[in-house]
Amino acid sequence: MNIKAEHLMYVYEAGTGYEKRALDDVTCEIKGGEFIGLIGHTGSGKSTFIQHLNGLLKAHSGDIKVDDVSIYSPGYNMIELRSNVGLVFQYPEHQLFESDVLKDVCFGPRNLGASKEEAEVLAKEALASVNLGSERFYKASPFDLSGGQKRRAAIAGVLAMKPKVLILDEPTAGLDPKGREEILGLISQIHKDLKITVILVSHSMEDVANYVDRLLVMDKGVLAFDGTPKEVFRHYKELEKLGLAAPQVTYCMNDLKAAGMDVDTDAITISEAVESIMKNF
Amino acid sequence: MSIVESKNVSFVYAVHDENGNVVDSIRALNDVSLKVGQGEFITILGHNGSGKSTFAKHINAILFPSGGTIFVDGMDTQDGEHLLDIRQTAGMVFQNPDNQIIGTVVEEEVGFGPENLGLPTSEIWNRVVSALKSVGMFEYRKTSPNKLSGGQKQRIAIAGIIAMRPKCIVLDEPTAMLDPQGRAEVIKTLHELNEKEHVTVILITHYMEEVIDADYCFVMNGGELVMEGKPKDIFSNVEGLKNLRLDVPQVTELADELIKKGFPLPKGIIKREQLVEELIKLKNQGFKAPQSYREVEA
Repeated sequence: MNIKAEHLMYVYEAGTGYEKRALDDVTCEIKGGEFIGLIGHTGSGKSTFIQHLNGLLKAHSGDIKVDDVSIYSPGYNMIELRSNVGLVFQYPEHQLFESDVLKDVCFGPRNLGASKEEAEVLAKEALASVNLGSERFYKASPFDLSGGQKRRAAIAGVLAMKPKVLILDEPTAGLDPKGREEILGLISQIHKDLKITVILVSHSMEDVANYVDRLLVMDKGVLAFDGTPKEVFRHYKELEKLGLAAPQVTYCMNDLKAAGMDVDTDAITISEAVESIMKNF
Repeated sequence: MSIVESKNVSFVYAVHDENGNVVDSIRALNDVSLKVGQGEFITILGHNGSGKSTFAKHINAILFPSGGTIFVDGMDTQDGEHLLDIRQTAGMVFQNPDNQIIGTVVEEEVGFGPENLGLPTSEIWNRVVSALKSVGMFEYRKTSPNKLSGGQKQRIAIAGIIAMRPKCIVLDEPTAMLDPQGRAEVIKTLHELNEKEHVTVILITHYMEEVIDADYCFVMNGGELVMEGKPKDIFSNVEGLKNLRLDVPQVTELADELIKKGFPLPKGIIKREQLVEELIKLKNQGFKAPQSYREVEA
């Protein structure tokens, strides 16, 4: 599924003194199967942007085309769009509410019209893909799970709707380092296994450097950068002005270069840095 | 003198079933003993569920030990008479700024604490102004908190605590929901408060980078204190930390990977400058890296 955003413009509190352009002429194309990172400081427009992709917010001008059809055209099937573009909000575990995990995950498909049996099949598949696929978890109360498990159960709730695009808003917030690694590893696995598009909103430059293929950077409602992580992190000085940064290891490489060592300042992961430093010795 | 002293503190809570019967009991803290000196900048690390937050809540008497004792500025937290004094001595800031801000204007928010202390109006204003200045948010005093960024909101929450003139601030993952700039703002503010106003800071975090400049670090696991030391000593145990579901700063990890490849680097490198300096030193000494990893193992 290809999504094309064309000149998106969205204004909060239009016509009042607090008018704020949350999206300002955003144009980009998201192709089926991409793994994209979306970064930007708080208030840069990331969340506003992702809520446009499944039609939760409607642009004041501009267009969104899904497989070349405008989602703003009359009679467009928004329910189908919302099942195709699954959105996992920040702290999704706060939205768990059912008496057991399986019922909770069934909620989405049931709402889309699946029968109880169909929903359970989808829910079990989804729970398996987040490593909660056993009877023990099906019957557990969502509130008895650990923090990381709750979050995985919430992600399963979205996966059960069989989205073609999975958008996650800071899925690692509040987790310990190992928990972060587990969730990101899982998302990367889901991306590979299900061959779906993944858009990862993140505040961790190290995480996006390690996982995504393409990076979108937003600032004041504008798409400031769009490229591979390497290309984007080359602009680390500009990123700092936007309240962002490059991964720590990239700074290290720049420091080493400044100190006279012949290293690759494009290195954005530890293994790339190690390899490049080794060449000097 | 210690501002916080924990002596063999344990905390056990009961798990109830739907009918309110006790079905299990969980030991969230087990025999925790530590001391924090007045004016220190302390960090507490530990994975989700390791007992850090439970411990933090003991410091300002939200929770009370099932066994052992906690003294805050010499006062036993279980001594009901001192409850308000303790909460005034040790202020607490939580993870989500939106859950702890109630005022509609920044200065009103910051004035809430001192107002509750029953201070005269002029004193409240003095404190609001100085607290806002100390977190660098004075120019926002007339703004509505919901117009602020996450980092700014957290600094307002910190100002609200500072206005009560505590000797100690306990922060439970105050940067978890913030972007890199917001995180940097909050951490810088805490270091300034610590250096200029000698407020003791106890920072609970999952971000290893925030630990680097602390005076001392405690690591918790399974409700127990499992490691303590200066950040450079804590981070020299890369494997140990990873086994506790934790991590090390990226610079430390890079140094550690190089050590594994046979580079004679010292342990406990936590800052970029150190790594650069050490690598340049090796280069000048003419150090040659082994041809392959296998050679190192052999």
